[in-house]
Amino acid sequence: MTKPISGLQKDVLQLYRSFWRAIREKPTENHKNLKACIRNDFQKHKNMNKRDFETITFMLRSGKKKLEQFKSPSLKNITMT
Amino acid sequence: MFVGLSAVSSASSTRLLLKQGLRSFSSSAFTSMAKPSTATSVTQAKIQKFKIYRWNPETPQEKPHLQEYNVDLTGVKPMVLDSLIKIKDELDSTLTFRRSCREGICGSCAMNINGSNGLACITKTDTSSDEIVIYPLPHMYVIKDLVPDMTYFYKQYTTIEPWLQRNETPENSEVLQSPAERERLDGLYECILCACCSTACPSYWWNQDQYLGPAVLMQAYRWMIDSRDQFTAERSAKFQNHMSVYRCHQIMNCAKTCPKGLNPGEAIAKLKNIIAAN
Repeated sequence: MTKPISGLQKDVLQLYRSFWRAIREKPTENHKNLKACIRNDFQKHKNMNKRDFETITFMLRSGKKKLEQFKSPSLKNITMT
Repeated sequence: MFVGLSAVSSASSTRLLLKQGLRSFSSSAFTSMAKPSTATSVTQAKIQKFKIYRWNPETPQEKPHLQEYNVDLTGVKPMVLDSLIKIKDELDSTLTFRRSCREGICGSCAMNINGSNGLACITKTDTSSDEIVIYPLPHMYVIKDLVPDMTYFYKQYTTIEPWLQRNETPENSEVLQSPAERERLDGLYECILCACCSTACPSYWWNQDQYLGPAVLMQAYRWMIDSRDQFTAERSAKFQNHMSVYRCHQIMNCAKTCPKGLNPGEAIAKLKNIIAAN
């Protein structure tokens, strides 16, 4: 049986999903780039101590801010070098 | 009576003046002259201890902490901001804080100094205390060190629509106001939105998401009583709920802390009257 996920984990997954949804509004040819970029941003912090609540809530907050910027229609593509 | 070389030379000139039969007025001048000092030529360092809140978003795993700085205040101007600038210039360039006008009109350098909110640029460095403890504005999200995130505060400010609203505007002329009508705005329009009052308000600490806070409410009142504004009823209709205004319990921390000497608490009380009447 899998462990039930915490509220904080839910929030992180929620944020990830909102990014995914926001990508749908972008030009189709750039989806691959954008997805890679978002996935990379999340994976960077994969090994974060899950008891470090302050850091996680901070990352969540800054993530939500980034989502607002990301949603702006002028943002079409992000490429990673 | 005469001290130093200059005194000798002026004594001779006095004699010269006397010879010519003129009155000398040098006697009182000498007493007010500054005496050349020899002992204080080696000035003593005035060390003041500062404890400043530090937190870096780039290393979020490191917990926020107070960093100590011992600053030599000789030759430093009297305000806290001057000391902060000295720290940034000479001791630690990574210290981050907002500042702009350094004369208390921009509201950038609002921070919590020795436990009370104020503008660093017009708060005197209290040299009598052992240490000066500086935090960012309380109960605000911190961007870095002493820089708080004001986004939500400004969003709340936009919800009160802080501009003139009229049904009709006169063609080719301004909307006039009598001196008496203008006077009613005194004590309200001076607010610089530094958020010192809002972040000193316990009600605002606990209900930041719904209660607008003293700074914003005072501006709401300012636009309601403006004789040129015709939307008072619409404005007050917005406040007909438990949270926006009525979380103010007249704690009056706002009036106590306001660096401009304004009284948001009083303005909110009057605002409540208008809302109740409408």
